[in-house]
Amino acid sequence: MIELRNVTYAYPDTHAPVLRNLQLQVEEGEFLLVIGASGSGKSTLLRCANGLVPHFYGGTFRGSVCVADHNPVREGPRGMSAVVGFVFQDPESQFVVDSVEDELAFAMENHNLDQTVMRKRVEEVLDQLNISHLRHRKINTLSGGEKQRVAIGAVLTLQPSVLVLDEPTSQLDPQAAEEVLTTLQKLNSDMGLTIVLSEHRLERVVQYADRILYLPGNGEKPLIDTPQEVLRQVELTPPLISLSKELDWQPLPLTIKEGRRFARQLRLPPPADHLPGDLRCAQGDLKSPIINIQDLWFSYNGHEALRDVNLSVMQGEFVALMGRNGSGKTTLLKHVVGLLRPGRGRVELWGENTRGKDTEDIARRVGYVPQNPSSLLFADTLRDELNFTRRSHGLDTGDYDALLRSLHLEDHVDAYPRDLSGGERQRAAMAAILVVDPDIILLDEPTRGLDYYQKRALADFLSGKQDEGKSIIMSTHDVELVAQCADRVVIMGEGQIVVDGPARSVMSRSMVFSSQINKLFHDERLLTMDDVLLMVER
Amino acid sequence: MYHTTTWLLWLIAALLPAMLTRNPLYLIILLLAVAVAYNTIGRLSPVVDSWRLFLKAGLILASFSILFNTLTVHYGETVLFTLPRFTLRIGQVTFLDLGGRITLEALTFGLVSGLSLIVILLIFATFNVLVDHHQLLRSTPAFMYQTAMIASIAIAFVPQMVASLQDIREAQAIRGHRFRGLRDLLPLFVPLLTSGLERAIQLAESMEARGFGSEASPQTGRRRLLHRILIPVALFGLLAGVFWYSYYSSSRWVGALVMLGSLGTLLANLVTIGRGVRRSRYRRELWRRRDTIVSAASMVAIVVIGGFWLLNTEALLFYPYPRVSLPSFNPLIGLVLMATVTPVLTAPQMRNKTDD
Amino acid sequence: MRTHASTLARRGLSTLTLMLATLLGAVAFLYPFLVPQTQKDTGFMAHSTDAPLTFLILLVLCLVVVIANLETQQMNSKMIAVLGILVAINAALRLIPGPAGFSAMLFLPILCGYTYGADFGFLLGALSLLVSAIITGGMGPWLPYQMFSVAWMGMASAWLPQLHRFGRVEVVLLALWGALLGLLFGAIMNLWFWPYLIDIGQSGMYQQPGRGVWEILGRYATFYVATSLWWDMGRAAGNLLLILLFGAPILHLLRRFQRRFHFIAE
Repeated sequence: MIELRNVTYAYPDTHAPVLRNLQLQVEEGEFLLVIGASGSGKSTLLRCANGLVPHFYGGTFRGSVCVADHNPVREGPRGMSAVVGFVFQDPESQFVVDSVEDELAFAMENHNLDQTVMRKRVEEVLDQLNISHLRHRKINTLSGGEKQRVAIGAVLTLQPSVLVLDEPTSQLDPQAAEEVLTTLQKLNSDMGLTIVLSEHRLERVVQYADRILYLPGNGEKPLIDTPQEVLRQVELTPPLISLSKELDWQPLPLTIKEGRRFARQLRLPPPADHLPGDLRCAQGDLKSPIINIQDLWFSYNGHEALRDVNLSVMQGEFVALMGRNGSGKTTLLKHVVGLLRPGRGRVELWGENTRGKDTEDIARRVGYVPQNPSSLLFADTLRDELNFTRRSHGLDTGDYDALLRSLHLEDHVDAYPRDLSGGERQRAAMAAILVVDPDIILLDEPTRGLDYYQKRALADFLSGKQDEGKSIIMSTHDVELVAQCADRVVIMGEGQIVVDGPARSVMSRSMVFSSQINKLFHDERLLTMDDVLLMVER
Repeated sequence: MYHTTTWLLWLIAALLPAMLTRNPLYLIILLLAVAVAYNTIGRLSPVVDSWRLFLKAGLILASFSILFNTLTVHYGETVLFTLPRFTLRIGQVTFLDLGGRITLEALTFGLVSGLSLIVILLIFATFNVLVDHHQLLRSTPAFMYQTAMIASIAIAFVPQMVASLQDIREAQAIRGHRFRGLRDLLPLFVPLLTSGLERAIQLAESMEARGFGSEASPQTGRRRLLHRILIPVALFGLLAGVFWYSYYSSSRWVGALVMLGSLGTLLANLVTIGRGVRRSRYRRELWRRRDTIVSAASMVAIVVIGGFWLLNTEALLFYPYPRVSLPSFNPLIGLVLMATVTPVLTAPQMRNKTDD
Repeated sequence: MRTHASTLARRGLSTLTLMLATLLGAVAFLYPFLVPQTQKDTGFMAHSTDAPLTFLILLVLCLVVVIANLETQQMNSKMIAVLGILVAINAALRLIPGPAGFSAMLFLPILCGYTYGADFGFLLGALSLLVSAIITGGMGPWLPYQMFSVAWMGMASAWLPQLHRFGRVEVVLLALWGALLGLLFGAIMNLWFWPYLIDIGQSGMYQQPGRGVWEILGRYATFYVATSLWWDMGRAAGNLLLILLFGAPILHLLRRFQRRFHFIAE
């Protein structure tokens, strides 16, 4: 179905080719998963399939590509649009009209299809993707998952033979990602549609893939094989698979179900009184908490976003805030930094009520990293960004070596921040906020779009900050990161705090918010891979 | 409720007399008809209602018209009172000429001009709430499809932009940025612009991946050149025709002919360009029986009013100078002005039905 | 494949069309003055109220013609998408209130026209007004005038020489240019109701032939001073200020963007 031969491509104004002598063959009806670190060329490779590379980007292209007997290099994206459907990463940037039905019809209008044909296909696609209830909605009222499904529908109306998706779930929360991925799986199994998908969060999708293509980057030879084979050789993988590799479980289990078979056979010592790894749960001295929220109520637009919230955080604690979208996590974080003010109740920082204080003053000691931090970058160089923050707070500028080194950005001090790659940009934005060295750090969904390496680096960075005595509250859906870093977990639902306790006990008692390892063993002591390995050694 | 073309014809039928006549009797009939239309079917529309703003603007402009005409026009036979006159002359040219004789005729002229403006504005206000803007955009002629696409993208992007602006404002507040003056808007505006531009490129990718592009008009170079040359040629002809019409009154028909010919060429050219655009339309508005009725009424009105206008009779005229007199009234015109109310007459049948 | 000659021809045709369309607009505006004073036949009076209608029709025609000309050039998807987004931003800028005639939506078409070319500036100016009107439900008889006026600002800015090498001076000059345009085109934007108020009959009936035009021009001058001048000062000052403050970073951004994405404009 798709064949690439000796493809070498370099973006314009760059010397080093992103793809070098690439050979690839994708079978018809296959579900191919493409993985690799950021910058390894996944996006470039995917865009070769429909001609966006090289037509949209320019650059130098060598080699040949053949997709369903069409030549993308010759025909270009418009010519290939009826053969290859391409869905992009950002659900916000794929829509030209504001109603769902018109968006579905857009591609067909471009191809001058007859009106009766268009009508029929719109109906079909609505049913195929189970989105008929969204038909008359305005696109900006949809959730992220719904938007992506509409985006898939918008390309399916042309009845392509291949569906190519570039990290379609990286901006989505787990439920939404689930919706999208099961939809894709259904399209693949029920309709035989060939699917090529790139993804960072392997655990969501690895069980659907027929084969995995791994791009190491740097022009090294890619690896394509069955999932078990490829994952065996790749370094960073989900905890389940990493553990399986360490403990040499064969054949490599890809799902929890497969893994339980092996887990049951493992002999583990019986639970003791002293739980390992609990030492990091900072009990704190019996001093007063640095964040104290009492009886907090907050509504906007008639919607009660926070109801009777009580929360206190000690110095040096790492709290993970979890819960469904819309449960009030972001709202709560914004109250801590003063972007929102309580309707009822109080927020105290270091014993002082935040009521009389300006947000800008609070932000001097409380750093809040919002969901799309790169939206705040505007200066010419990274240094200027950092200077801007310091000057706005009335501080003098200095050198930022330590901070930048901890974020692996020391080489980019004079770079234009918006030219940096996705992960680097996020770190740059974090640097711009944390340059004032706040004592409380709040993070809102910091792991969107990060690959495993970047997540590990983030975890290291945050642990480092915690060691310095900072207190951290992180709102996230990423269970593995929570399992690794957090001391305490607070789960919210419908604006209320539902559970608040030590990470270990909360996570092991929850069905939804537990890590892969925990789901594998159902043992409170085992949250991360290291926990298991430590226990096995004994 | 009605087809977009129906509403456009309605607009023309209402606008034509409002612009062409200053006869207060006709204007009042028109005003009442439009008010009725707005109050019955206009109110049902969910669109943002700016009727009151239009009314306010109209009243302000009308009062301005009254003031302006009364104070600067010194003609007319019925003098109400006299103010001291203030003039500013430079050589042959009078720059200011205020005061002097305040005449009833000038006052009347100001009044009817203002009335005409109010009616025009209210017609537009009603049109705004009646017509579906999205359908209006979709009905853009084919030769302008790219422009319509731009407008469509812009409308779709506005809510995202508002959300983005809010996020940026909060993010900069966290960095300690305070808004003290105009210059402090820079950290808000530049990121907004930058993310907008980046989003635009992603959107362009998505559009091309779905087949949008020059395939829509694959005209050969030569044909395209012909179309492009015809436009300025037709324009030149139009200008020449207007010139001739205005200055050579004896052979005015030549000017008119040239104007019409050029206009025709232009329109034909545009239509042909449109035919070459290979894009279909998904939505098709239904043309119902009531559309035929209302459109027919509008067409009749347009023909009658246009006929009176072309045939140079003074039926539409109300000119208070040199001496103000009662306005004339032609029942035919009065009747035809009522065509503005037809949408109301055919609509109530539909209100009881569940579908629309 | 485009040859150099054909690009020149293309540009020449565009300019010619633009010029003619502008002439048409000017004719429409001066229509009342064009009617010769010697006309005293009966047909004359009946057409004394023609001015607003003909003006409107001719303006709409101008806009349509220029847009049609642009459309024949096959804008690529990047340009359409970027225009779409910028139109949205500019349309929102219009809603920012300010003293007198201050309008925040004029400096972007000027800067974008200057960097990205006449076609871009024209469309940005015209469509931001159209979209703004659609969103706020405020389409009125003033719309074609405003569209034409701002579109022209964007277009004319493209014809400035590129002053990039002069560094800071570039922004100052652009700011002055913006102030000038604010004054010039305020006349068109604000005085859309001028044809509704004047009376052509005056010129023919009560003045000696030859004086009629001056009479009306004088009246117009009064009108302008009383209404628009004040407003236009506010607008000119607003443009000056906004370009001085924001011009440099925005120009920088626009140029960087063009380079980075091989954005095809002009």
